[in-house]
Amino acid sequence: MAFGILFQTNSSEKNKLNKSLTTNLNLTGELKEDSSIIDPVITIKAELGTLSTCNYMTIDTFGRSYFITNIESINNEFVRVSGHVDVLSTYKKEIRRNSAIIKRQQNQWNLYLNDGSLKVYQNPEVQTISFGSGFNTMEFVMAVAGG
Amino acid sequence: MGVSVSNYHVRSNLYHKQVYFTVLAGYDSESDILYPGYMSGYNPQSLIPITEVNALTEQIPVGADNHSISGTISGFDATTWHTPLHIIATDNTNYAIGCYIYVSYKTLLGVENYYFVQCCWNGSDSWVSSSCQFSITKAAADPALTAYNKLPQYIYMSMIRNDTPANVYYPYPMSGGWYFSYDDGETARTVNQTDVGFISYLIPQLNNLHYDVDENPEPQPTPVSNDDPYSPGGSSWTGGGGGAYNSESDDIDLPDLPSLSAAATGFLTLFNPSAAQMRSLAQYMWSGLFDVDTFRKIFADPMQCILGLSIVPVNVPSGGSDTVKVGNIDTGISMTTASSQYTSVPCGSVTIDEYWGSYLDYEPYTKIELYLPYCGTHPLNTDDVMGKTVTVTYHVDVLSGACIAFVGINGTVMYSYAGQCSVSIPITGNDWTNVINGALSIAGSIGSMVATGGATAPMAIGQIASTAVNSMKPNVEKSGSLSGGAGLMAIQTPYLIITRPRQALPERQNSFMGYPSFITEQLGNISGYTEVESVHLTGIPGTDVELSEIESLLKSGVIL
Repeated sequence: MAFGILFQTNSSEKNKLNKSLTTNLNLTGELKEDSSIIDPVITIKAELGTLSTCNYMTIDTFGRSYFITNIESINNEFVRVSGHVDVLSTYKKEIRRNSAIIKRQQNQWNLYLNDGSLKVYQNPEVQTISFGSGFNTMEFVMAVAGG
Repeated sequence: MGVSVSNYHVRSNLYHKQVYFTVLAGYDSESDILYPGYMSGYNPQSLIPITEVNALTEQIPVGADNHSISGTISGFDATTWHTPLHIIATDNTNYAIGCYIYVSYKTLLGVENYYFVQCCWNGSDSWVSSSCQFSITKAAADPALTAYNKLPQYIYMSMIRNDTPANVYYPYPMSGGWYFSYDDGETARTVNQTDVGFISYLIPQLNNLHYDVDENPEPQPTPVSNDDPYSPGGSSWTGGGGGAYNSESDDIDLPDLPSLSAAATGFLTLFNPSAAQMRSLAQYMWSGLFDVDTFRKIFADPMQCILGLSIVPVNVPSGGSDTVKVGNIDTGISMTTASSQYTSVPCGSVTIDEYWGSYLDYEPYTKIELYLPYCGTHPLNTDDVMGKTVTVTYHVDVLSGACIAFVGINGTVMYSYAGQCSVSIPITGNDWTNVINGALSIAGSIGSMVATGGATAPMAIGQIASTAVNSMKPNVEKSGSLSGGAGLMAIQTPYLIITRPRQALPERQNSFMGYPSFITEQLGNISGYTEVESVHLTGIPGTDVELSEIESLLKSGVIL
């Protein structure tokens, strides 16, 4: 079975759906050994130096993208690459079609909800606001018996 | 008497309802013998075995009239004459079918909007069954039926006896039940004059009943076990909702000043003298112009006529002028009189704007206190006043010096505080003593500074929210009683004291942590840092492990 692997460098956050990828190496060949599609371990013929800068790979045959979790040099010719599926990037289209109850969000929020993560300083601010008018005179009052 | 029905069970669902009932044996009051399924006034010793029991073997159309079916129900116990009947009935009426077990053959009638009645008659040793139908109109006209009609899912049995003249049926009063009467003959048929039968009918409030067939009725539900020691305490139930969602509010307006005043009694006159007029009166009282001898014919002490002299911090409402008469002796000194004992002092309003437009503007994070002249400093519930207009208005009794401060929130009076705003001027030795004692009492209360514990903010379990800091700090009273002379020397204008937390906000905190949201949104419609509270993932062709990981990542925070 024809098999292709794109070895890439991911410069985005791990938990980001849209990864910013740079392709470093594109290999094609045949998959000769058993491999998990979730946590693939693939032995390839390549120079270690070429792969050492790669932290990401895409395998179209598996339909998934992967974080490279380990690169082992077997000998001068072969390198064993281990990966774990990047579910966010692999299924980003389907994820975006789903609805959810959002707990915290960068742009859509309601600040009237209590947020325990907000920090305050120990010295509060005190503000005084006057009403502007009040008692501004003084007068005598004398009560005398009789009308 | 008659036949009672028990052990019925009703279960309903959206489309049809199932009714179980067990018909017990009948009872002959003359012989005091319990008979199975049959009553006879002439042969009480006879036991007529039921050879067959009708089952619903065919679909009875809705609205069918006098439709009869027959069949056999399995499981019938001829010894006890008990059998559960499993009837599934649906129609569009509120009345279900009635079913009877009795001798010979049984018919099951279903007539739309009719009670289903079935009678068993013993006519000359031959059993004839006939059907009786009661019009709903007639039934509705009967108070007992009408009342009964409202009872949910009860099965009542009553007995009728056909007596002379023919075709006239008489009700048997039912012990614990009810009876009815009818006399038009149109709803009953019989073949002889000595029939006795029993009528049973099912009058539950069941909707959408359809006739169906089930010869193998389901067993009745197992009674609730009594082994649970908590069972007598009652079971749980679903409920809630149904609130009125009525948030309409009545305006609580500022009250009017009292309409009755001491000045209107005629027993005293309130003067509003100037300082010069007071000096003139004092000079007169101590001068030779004041005829003490004449005065002493009526009073012992001239000062008895001056009931009180005080300083008040308000404009006394003017009622014209008059000369001062001391013990009916006209001093000739003219003074302004007070038209009323009461006056109002508006102090204006302040709109308290939110500082953040967030939860920090409210309790327990932001604290608000209100200083009121002559009443002291009082805390306001921040949630009551934030974002609203606070208005302060005093009503003052110039005679006693009592005052009340009304605090209105958006036009509705929500707080009121009482105080004392007059300073008595001693004109006798007793007055002087009282004034001094009053001043000492006030001074003592000013000296006491009370610190009370602050209200605590809601905290996450295992976490102390730093925003709760302000609320955990002790509340310290900023003033004691400010009445009388102390109040006159204090600040004469109300003011608010707002204590709010000082935020410590790192740059772009929302991009790292987000802010609380709690909305339902499609994930494709939002961007940026997102934590999900709850999601049901669909349409993702991943393995179970992948789906679990997606949900876990969404809940821990992703960047869309």
